[in-house]
Amino acid sequence: MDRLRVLFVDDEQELVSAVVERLEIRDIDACGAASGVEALQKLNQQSYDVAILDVRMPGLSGLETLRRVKYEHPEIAVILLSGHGSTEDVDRGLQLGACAYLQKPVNIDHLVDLIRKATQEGSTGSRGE
Amino acid sequence: MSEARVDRIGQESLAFMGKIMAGQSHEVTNVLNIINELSGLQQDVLLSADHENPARLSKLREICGKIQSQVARGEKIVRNMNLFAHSADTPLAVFDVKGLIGRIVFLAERWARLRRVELTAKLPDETTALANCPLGLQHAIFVCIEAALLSASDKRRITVGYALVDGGAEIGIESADPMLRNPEVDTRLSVLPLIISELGGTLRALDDGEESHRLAFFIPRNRGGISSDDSGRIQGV
Repeated sequence: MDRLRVLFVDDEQELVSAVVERLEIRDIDACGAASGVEALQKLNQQSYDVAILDVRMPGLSGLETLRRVKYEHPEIAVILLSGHGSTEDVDRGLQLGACAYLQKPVNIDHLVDLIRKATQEGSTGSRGE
Repeated sequence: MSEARVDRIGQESLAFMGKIMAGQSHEVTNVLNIINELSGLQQDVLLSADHENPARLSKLREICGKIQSQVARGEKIVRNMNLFAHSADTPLAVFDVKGLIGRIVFLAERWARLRRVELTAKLPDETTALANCPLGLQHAIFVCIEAALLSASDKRRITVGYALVDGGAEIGIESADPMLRNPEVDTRLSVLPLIISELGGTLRALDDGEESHRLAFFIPRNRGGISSDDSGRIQGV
């Protein structure tokens, strides 16, 4: 079976590199991006199964990135990552086509479960936590 | 001073403190989230090791170094939050204006980063003691920074600095972009004359024209019966 390909997007680069390494250890092909613009570039260059987007990012926000991902690559499942006080953004994101959300701090095993569910079930709109 | 005016300044001041505390708590959470992932990664590396594949010490050292730098980042945030919170202890205090500007610029960096603007403090080498209201001065500077951020375009620079002038200091906020005059900016700036008046100061530059790149105000060295010569009472240094 092919390994899943995941793009993890957050403006905190140390967080991105740690999560990417932890996903790799769990047999997931993971890449990172530090902004919405960089994420869209990477999604245009290579195929991914899942994109994980932080809701609050400088420049192109997580929600705007989600909107563009869903327009340009509707086949990619999107999981939102939110911090405190982002519930309205998460609700809006689920309406825009995100299949799940996860609250920080990331529980890596929970994230892996969500990634696998997202690729098995498609966009069914489940809540992470 | 009218009761309504005092109420307005009080409400705005509380809102300002709440905003700073909320913003910095997000910053602390970011640091904790990174430490959480790095310690998880450390655990992953150790758990995946066995007799044939021992844990790479260089990898563990690298992760430890990253954790330490995040702890230092978190400590700096908390230290600045603590000094900021204590700046509300008394309405009048002797404080180092250089340290105070450095601190409010540090605390405002989050908002600049979210708008992808570079915010810097341009400060002299020597420190200068002022006897005034430290919370009010930080509030005035933050209002100016917010107004400048609303006007700034992507990846531009905003600089905060001060110069000693006769009887006090002139605080200046300069932006690479002209300060816009629109309802949002005007609403943000509407409290500024009240705060500066409370500091016993005056607004020096807030042009009506569209090409003003600078907001500046003067505050006196000594305010309300205490003197900046009273260095034994200096706060936040």
